[in-house]
Amino acid sequence: MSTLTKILIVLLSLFSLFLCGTIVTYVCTAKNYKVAYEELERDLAATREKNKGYQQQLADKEHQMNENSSRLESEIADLKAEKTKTEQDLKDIQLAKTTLEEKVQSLTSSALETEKTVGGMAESLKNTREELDQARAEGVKLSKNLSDITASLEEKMAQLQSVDAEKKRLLEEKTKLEQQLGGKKGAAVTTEPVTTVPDSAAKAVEMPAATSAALQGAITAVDGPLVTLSIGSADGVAKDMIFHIIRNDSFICDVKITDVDTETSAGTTQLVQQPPKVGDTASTTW
Amino acid sequence: MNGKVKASSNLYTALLAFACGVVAATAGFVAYKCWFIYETLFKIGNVR
Repeated sequence: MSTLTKILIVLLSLFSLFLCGTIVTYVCTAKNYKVAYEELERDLAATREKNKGYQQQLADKEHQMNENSSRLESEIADLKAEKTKTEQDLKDIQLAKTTLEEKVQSLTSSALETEKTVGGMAESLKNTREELDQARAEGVKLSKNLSDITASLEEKMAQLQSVDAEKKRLLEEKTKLEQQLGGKKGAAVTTEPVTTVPDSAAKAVEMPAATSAALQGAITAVDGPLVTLSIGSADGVAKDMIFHIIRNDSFICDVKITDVDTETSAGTTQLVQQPPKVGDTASTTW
Repeated sequence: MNGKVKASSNLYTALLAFACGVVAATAGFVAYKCWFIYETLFKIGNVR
């Protein structure tokens, strides 16, 4: 074997050892791409499963969102319709308010006119009442005059009766005297007067005297036409006296005394203008 | 060529045999790795 062959053999052996060492080192330290690929594939499958789940959730959420949006849109439409209706109602109410305000103004003006009319009517009523009071006062005065005239008439009639009685008595005395004269000539016949002087004249004389003193009392009881007064004979009340019943300066009626007690008296009503009440003032004068 | 064997030629033969053995071992190691890891020797493995 030549030297060159030996050298080549040695070099071949060395390079072979170097190459094998390098290859073994590389193969041992190389990355196992199959394992890595399988791991990545598993990761990919898991990620795809997660993706499917997320997509499903996304679909569900989108479905819910669509439902909510449709529901909200329907609610918005309902609220818009309600708002339109409410605006229409508001316009109607404003129109009604305007109409009512006009009515109120017209009613206010008519009320003011009515108030003026009522004021005028009250004024005329007041005047009419004053006239009525005056007429009543005149009526009371006239009734008083009538009662005075009636009393004087009764007095005159009593006087006339007394005069008639006196005349009769004088006639009887004349007859008696004639008889005495005739008796002196023949037989004396005495006759006694039959008539007596009535007391009505005295009473008629007494009445003006009694009425001249002012007596004042009050009504204590009322029973139909019968009235009881708070004064009696002790205060100077006598039978057939006329008391004028007055209430708040207005004439009520007259009371003619029929029964007299010491502290009270009773009578019947006359010239009744209004029903007498307990507490009304009774007076013989005005 | 004569048939006489010398000791110096056995040394180089041994050296060559040793290098061949190392290369064969390396090839066997690489084949072992390829087969049991990638299940292929001369092709690129298919992706499942």
